[in-house]
Amino acid sequence: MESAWVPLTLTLKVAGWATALNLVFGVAIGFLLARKRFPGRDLLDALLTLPMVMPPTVLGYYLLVLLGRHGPIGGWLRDSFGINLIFTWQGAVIAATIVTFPLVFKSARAAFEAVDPQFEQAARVLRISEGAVFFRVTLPLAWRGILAGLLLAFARASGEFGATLMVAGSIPGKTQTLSVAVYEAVQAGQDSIANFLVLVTSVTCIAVLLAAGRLAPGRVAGQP
Amino acid sequence: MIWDVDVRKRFENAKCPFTLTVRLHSNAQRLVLLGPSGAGKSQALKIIAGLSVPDDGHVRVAGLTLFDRRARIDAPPQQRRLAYVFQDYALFPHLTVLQNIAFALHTGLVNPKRNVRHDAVTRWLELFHLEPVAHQYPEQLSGGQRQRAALARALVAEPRALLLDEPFAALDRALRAHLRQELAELQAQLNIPLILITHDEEDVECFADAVIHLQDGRTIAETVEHDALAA
Repeated sequence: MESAWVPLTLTLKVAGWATALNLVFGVAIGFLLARKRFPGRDLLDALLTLPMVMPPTVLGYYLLVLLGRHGPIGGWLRDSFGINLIFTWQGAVIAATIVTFPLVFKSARAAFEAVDPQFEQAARVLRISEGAVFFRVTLPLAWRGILAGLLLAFARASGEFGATLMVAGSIPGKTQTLSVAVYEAVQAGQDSIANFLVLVTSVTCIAVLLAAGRLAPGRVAGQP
Repeated sequence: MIWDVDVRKRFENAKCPFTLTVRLHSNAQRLVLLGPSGAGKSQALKIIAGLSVPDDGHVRVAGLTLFDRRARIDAPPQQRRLAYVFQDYALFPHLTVLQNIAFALHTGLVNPKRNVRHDAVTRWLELFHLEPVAHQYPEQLSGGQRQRAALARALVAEPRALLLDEPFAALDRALRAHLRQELAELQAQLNIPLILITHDEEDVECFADAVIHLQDGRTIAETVEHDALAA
């Protein structure tokens, strides 16, 4: 069972990074979509929601094309910084980030839209700068809804399979996450390892879902 | 001239497009803007506070130009130094009464701590009898306490003028009379000009130096209640 901990820690590392990236970008985009009116807003929302409806393998293929050594982003990264993302755990982070992005920005958008603009107006009249209004009023009031989205994203990122396999492959100890390890174990007929991995994954997911349920919007303090 | 407002704003509502025209020229310390709900009273107050931008006109309070379309002046609400008390008070639900009142005294990216101490905050807590509930959250307060907390939060910032949106509407009758009295005394003490908007004639009788009627988006008549304007 020793070997099961390696994919578990790798999975937590990948999912943790993906969640952290989404905390920044998902919250920013969610706020933008909730509070700013600009042409193409609906189109942007639809495009960013695509990862939720597209098959992960298709997403993985897109990422391979973009991030591969001859791709526009991958080629630039290699020429400028000597960075290669394909078949690395960082590549798995990017795959997991993209796949879970809609979960975060959608719940962030809904959470921001549920904040009564009157609280922000009250803060402005009290001579608080726009940036401070966001960090002192808007974000604290939207926080629980955002956190619920982040937890879902964390759970989904831990279970990511298709796009991760395409971009990062299945290198034991390097890019082989839990879900990929389960697949490999079953393919190799190692039933006891597969059983253990499946159990660990299930317990992790249930814990995260329970936590997310407790934070669901509607229980947000003080919202009418 | 304390209040010199002449603004127009068009609202492109799908059902009924609506043009708000507000003209206030008054030296009244206590100006009441009276009108039925839907007449555009709150919008008028938001325009004065800088929370809503009019299409045309000017807003001057106590000689300071806050908005002037032609001169391209539009001071952001942060710089207008007007206190605004919202109809349902808009106390921050995630902060205690103490933190709410201390809110404007902290300009950085973080809210005041739960145990923050400021002389000004302590003074207002005492004056409004809010010490017992200082560490409670707004949802735990009674209507009157909420109103006092909202007033204290607005006044701590030392505003030039006070804008009140239906401050008594959320309260029961007995409390309303009492708080009207309290606000009148406070205004006299601080000598700070205020506009109060209401649909309640009683507010006018008890409170107004001057009253302006707003109906269907237009200020229609000005009647002098007391002799404040004669001076």
